[in-house]
Amino acid sequence: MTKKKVHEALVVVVMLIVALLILYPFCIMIMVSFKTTKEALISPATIPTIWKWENYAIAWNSMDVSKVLLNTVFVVGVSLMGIVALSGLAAYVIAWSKNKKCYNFFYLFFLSGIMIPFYTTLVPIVKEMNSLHLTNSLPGMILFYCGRNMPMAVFLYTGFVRDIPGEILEAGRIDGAGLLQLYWRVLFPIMKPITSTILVLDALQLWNDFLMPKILLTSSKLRTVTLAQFYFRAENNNKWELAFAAYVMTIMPILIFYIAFQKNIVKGVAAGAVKG
Amino acid sequence: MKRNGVKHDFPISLYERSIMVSRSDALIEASRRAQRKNSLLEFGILLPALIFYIAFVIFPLLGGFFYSLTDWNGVSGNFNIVHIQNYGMILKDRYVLEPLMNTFIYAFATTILLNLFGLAMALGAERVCFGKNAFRTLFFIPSVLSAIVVGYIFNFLFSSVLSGVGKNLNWPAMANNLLGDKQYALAMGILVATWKGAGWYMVIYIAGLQGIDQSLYDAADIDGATGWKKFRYVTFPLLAPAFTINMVLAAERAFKEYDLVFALTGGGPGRASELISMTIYNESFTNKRAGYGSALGIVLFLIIVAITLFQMKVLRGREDNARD
Repeated sequence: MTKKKVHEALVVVVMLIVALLILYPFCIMIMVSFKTTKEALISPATIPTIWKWENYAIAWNSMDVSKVLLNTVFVVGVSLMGIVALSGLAAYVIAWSKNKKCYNFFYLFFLSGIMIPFYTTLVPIVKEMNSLHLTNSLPGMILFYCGRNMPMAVFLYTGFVRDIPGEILEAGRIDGAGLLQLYWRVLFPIMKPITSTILVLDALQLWNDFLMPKILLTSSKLRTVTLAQFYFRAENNNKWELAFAAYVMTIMPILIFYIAFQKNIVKGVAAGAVKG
Repeated sequence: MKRNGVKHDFPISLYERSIMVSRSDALIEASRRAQRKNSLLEFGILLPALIFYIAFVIFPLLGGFFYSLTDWNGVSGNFNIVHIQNYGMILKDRYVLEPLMNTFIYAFATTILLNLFGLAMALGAERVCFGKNAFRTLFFIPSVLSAIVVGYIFNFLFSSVLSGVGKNLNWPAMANNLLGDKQYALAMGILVATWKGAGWYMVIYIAGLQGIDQSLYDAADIDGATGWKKFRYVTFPLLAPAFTINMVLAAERAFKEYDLVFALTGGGPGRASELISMTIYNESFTNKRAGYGSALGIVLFLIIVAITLFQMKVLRGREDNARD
């Protein structure tokens, strides 16, 4: 009995140490964000002697946080809608068409895109976006994201739809509903769990995407969150306290999103991985 | 009657047959038309996804392969076909081989560490007697942050807080800044990547743990199995699918890593922590060698495919063994 208690206590201690290791950088970031430039450099790991709340106001204006957040929400939101709408439809046809041979080919064709690294397509993508006049444009980013995230979404949706019994559609077919009507009225509501998995995985990925916006968006008005985080340091002479104030503000939305949808996110990550 | 029947049988049946045939022809034709309309509609439903996919993944991939055979600089309108010359150059280019080696080290180390810590955190979060949910929530937080922010926070930590610790420990490399030390920069990148990513793998392991039938542990208890034996003979074999997924996922992500190490060290000092993804970016744009950069991209693609297939083969085989 006592051995078990010792064991339990040991687990708790180790878990608390890990928790501290994870929290520590956040604590430093928050404390530095309230300091003066001098104190941030001399004694970074202490509680601020004077709490400089105005760091946050300066950082907010200097980064134009509201604009940055709006840009990112727009890009991520519209991309997610496009990905879910189009990949769900594609999976519907792939899984249930009578023309199995043909659509199995398309399925494998989509599947082969999952492993392609972005860096392999770097040069042609830039050239293509240039010739389509999609550089320096948020809609350009959205179109690209829809294409890049399509294969994974088609894969996840197809796996899910294949497990749904076909009788569900027959009932709808007797009512004389067309292919598209059947999809929206009958199938789409059933697909909710996998839709939320795809939304969660893609939302996290797109929100934090860095390299594509860095290449594509050169205008400072179009910056997304990660781009603004990247440029802020250099543009503010390495003033860490301002940078950290800006970072605290810009990670808030994703933290709130995470806390609010925690259950879905954890489920989505696990489900997406198991199927991948 | 019989005669009549015989007499009339042939022509009438022929007539009838002709009607029947034409009718069935019409029927088949109609159903064919309906089917063709249906399959056209089906294809139309699939088409938008296909167009996006081809336009932004397949077409650029083919383009990447094509440019890898040229000496294009990425800007000018003309270039020469140099066939496989770029690929030959890669083998002799130490500015590429060093980052390639770094990438393999980074991938190997992060794959092991992420799985080790992910599994340990999952076991801890399942076993801890209070605050299960709070620990799990906290451990996953680094996974939702942007790699840029994480890289910068640790950049600051290494240059200020940890260098202070280094002075106290009398360890000059740490006192100066471990990120600025050729010997340690990549290793620190690996540690920070583990800090950031372990929670993701923990979540997948937790899902695996929760799928294990509790009665197996009860049976092990009756057999008198201790904690370690239970882990070795019950938990770990049954986690095989989650283990496979996590190994493949971690390796693939490591080969595609850019943001975190870029924000942390910028690939420096020198090329000590440069990953192949950074080399591809630099060659393609900064050094204006788009053809060469594309060839590197193709090589990276082939490496990822080869490693994933290899891992799948080995790990799936292990899964089957565990099941027997």
